[in-house]
Amino acid sequence: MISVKINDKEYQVEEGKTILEVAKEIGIEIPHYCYHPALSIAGNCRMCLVEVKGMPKPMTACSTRVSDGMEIYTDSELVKEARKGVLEFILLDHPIDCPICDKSGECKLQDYYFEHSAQKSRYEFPKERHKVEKISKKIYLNPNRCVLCTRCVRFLREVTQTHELTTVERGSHTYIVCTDPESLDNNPFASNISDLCPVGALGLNEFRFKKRVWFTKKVKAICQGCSAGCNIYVDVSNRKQLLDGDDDEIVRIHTAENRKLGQYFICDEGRYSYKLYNDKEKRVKAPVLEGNEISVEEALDVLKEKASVRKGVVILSPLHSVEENYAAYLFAKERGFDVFRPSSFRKELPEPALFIEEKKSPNDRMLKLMKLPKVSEIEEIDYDFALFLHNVGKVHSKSEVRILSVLKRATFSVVFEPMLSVFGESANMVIPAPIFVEENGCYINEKNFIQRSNKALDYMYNAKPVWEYLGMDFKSEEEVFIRFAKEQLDKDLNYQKLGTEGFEL
Amino acid sequence: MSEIVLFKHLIDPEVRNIENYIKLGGYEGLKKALSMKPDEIVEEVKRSNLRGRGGAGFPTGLKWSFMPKGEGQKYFVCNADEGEPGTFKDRYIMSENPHQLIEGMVIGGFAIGATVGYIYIRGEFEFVAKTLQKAIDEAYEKGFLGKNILNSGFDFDLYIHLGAGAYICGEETGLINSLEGKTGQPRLKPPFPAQYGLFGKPTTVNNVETIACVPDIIRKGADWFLTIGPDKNNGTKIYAVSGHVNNPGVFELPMGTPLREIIFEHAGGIIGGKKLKAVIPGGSSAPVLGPENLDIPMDFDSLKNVGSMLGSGAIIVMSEDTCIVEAFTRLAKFYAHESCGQCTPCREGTAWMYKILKRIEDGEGKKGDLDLVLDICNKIMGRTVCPLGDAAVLCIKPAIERFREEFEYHIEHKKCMVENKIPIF
Amino acid sequence: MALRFDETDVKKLEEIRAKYPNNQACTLPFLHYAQDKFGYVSMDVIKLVAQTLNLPVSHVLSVATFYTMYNKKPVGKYHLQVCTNISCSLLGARRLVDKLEELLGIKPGETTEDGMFTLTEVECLGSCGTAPVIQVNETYFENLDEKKVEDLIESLRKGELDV
Repeated sequence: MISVKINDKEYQVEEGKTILEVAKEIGIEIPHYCYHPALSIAGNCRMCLVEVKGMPKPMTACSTRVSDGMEIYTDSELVKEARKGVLEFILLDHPIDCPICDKSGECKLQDYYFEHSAQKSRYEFPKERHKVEKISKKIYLNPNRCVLCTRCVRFLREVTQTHELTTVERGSHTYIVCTDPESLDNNPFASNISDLCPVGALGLNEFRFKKRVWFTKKVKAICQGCSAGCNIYVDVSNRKQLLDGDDDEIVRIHTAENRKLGQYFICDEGRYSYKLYNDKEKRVKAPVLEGNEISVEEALDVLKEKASVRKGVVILSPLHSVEENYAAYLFAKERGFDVFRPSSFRKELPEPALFIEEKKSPNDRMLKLMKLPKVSEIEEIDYDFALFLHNVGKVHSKSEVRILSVLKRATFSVVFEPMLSVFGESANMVIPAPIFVEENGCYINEKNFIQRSNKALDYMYNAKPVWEYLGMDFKSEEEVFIRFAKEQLDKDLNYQKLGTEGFEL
Repeated sequence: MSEIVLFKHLIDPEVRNIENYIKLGGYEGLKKALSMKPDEIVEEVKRSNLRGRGGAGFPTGLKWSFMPKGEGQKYFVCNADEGEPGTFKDRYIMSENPHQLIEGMVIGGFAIGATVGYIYIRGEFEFVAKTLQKAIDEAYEKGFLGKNILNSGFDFDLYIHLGAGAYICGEETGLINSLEGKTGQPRLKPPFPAQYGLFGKPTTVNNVETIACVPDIIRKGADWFLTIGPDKNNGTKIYAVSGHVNNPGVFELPMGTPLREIIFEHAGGIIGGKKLKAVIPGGSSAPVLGPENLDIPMDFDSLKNVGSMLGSGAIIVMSEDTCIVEAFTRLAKFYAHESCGQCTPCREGTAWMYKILKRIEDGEGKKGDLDLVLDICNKIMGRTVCPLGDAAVLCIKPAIERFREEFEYHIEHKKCMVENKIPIF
Repeated sequence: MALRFDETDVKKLEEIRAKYPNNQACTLPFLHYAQDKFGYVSMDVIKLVAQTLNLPVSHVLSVATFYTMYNKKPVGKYHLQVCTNISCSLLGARRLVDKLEELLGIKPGETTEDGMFTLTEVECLGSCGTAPVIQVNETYFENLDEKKVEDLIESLRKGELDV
């Protein structure tokens, strides 16, 4: 550890880190465009210039490593003036599209301008204009808004190594082109460039003109697509700001970072998976008994009665959170029921795969960790009561066959799922489960990292957590989690201790 | 007559042929160097006070000493991009006395531990490259290049690489990127080329003229070099004089020759006997000087002391028939055109400055335009990845400050102050 | 119609490749070679060079468009590149451009209809001592004035000069 001074305050920091990184850890945000923790250092936007005592000119914080005794100023007059200068230069050629630009409200140019400049433009010449290009089925490029930070170029060059974008020409005539739209179409990570773009130059077609970001609420969650457990932001319609006729739904999913995990991007499949969750038609809207809708009170009674047997089985789900699974597990254990787990549905990895996992469920690891037997080990017996937890998504086809058989042969079978599936159709009763954004839930990913997904929407229709339908005593998701942590992980944990980035088990 | 270090063709016009070069003592420096230790060669070059003649004037021996010792591939690169407006000296070294450059490359390679050398020549100089390649082939034949040079155990291969039209490739890291097959956008420093250079290996980049000084320094000794030129500014310099002079051309003179002597004696004075209005002393990126500076010794330190620089030693002479506004607007256009576009201040600022100056030149200047240009200069200076942005500022800002009256005349009267001006636009 | 390098080309390209430790470094020389062979650097040429060197097309495109010597459009038989930077301008380059516009009937950036001449204004050619200078294809013509330019065009039209 070495000692540096930032704005006249002394700090102990790790040697070898850049000023920008160190400042962020301390809580000082230095504005920047081209820097990104997962990409090479470009140092071209010049927005992060800071003053370092003893150096003749301002230094870029993104590329200057701290050294012992360094004295740094991030808010001196020179630094403030430098930022104004850079912003003015960027805005010379930038179309003031804010009223029609999707990035409005989350645009680094807007944000920094209001924070650091708010200066009137002194540029009085015509601006150079290029056509807006559809560079893939999902992404459009407006080169006029581009600030040439080259994050998109570097991402496709360094991370996916597919090289679809590049700068052409030079000087103030430089602009970005896509040389291979087809490749971008097939690139499983293409849409990340829209998140990376600090301005509205790269946008996603599915979000274009869809909704203003200030009409949404941004909540951090865990992607349900596979066992990589990528952190995502789920943007939901903001109840407080809803316009007439607006519905509760997921507007979009975009990248959230987890530096501990080293995760900075998400795959397109996960990103666009939100559409699956918005399908209201398919939602189980009320408990269903033998094909007929019943009330919640009736459902509670039925379940209580049917579960008072000796031979019962609960089949958990890698598609459900720790809390849902553990509550169902405890329910089974209280009654001496058998507990099994299905195998995850697997899908072949795309090219390039990067961090995508084959197992297409977010919580497979939890069930493995608990050393539960697989459904393939279920003996050929007819249970009196069978409960299966299911969710949006699939389980392994072999598991599916076994589970269907168990459900059909059981005297009374119940499926807990948000949308009617072949499982629900084969069971006596279906109870409406929440989708992941309707509840807090933890998930353990393939790398044994436990992370928390946050509730973003109210329970829709009659969806409730499984412990409420099972008449259990839990008042919140956290209660279940605390018990899981104590009994299965031998740790004294709660949501606050888990933190926003989780940790490796 | 002054000492001839580089322009050996003034002694023998055919010195580009290896036999003639050898007759004049050619490759003796190499022989001596190979009998020395690399460290000793670096020390000798340091002692000689040889400073870079590409523009920055950085002490060459010191630059060489930055190279790491020990095993591993290293590169020695010659910067023959010669793109600085007004500069036209390196082409004559390469076409008239190529072997001296080649000898300097081998000595330098040996001193810094590089077994491969590249000469990066601007693409437009393909005809010069042809002559240089012939000389390189001769040197290979005679065993001054290739494996086990003169039985020393030292291998050195020398290749020519042509540029493709970009002034920014004269910047050492822009050059390195261009050699690597990329766009010529300069790199962030640190790391410096000696740590991470060409193909990621330790590299030293030197100008043609600088390298060509090395053979005689080794052959005749640093003490000899120290007898030429003022203290800390030793050796000869090739001054390239152009513009409104009767006898434009290249002149090898002792470092520190007064500007007046160069312009009025060697370059034959101003065309038409006109008055001197302005003179750029070291290539377009050097702050412009006026008639009161004519007695300045043309060396690094003297020019620095008056707020300018020796740079490449390219002297551009402007007589009273020059419209300063037009001349410097044209230079602003040059910088805007050559900006690589990587970093915000240079990319946007140079283009903006040009547009404003052009507007003034066109007679549509507005009040406040000059202060705006000066403000833009302040927002570029010291804020860029590489010195091109700074060069644009060093070209334009002093010109506006010195000739402010003329610029304001253009704005107010919407026409030129100069009666018989030479049209530039 | 797909472009390709034939056997002679491949041999020459291999000689170039031998000067460098990797393929990427060959981008500039290969583009020069291809321009000499095919006349100008079209998108097809860019793709061919990329394919030959096993490099992304986007890389070769960014290089080809960065440097001014790679012509993205076809040029005339004689590419008249007039330096209009400071020293040449001080010695009357503007008048030479005007003269050429008059003689050829085209403006800078354009090509004559018969495909003989393309006129371009360029930056400093490094020949300021013999200004004003015009580079025709690979050859420098120095110490010019309006009369000499007229003679030059004449000679070029007659095919008397090897540039």
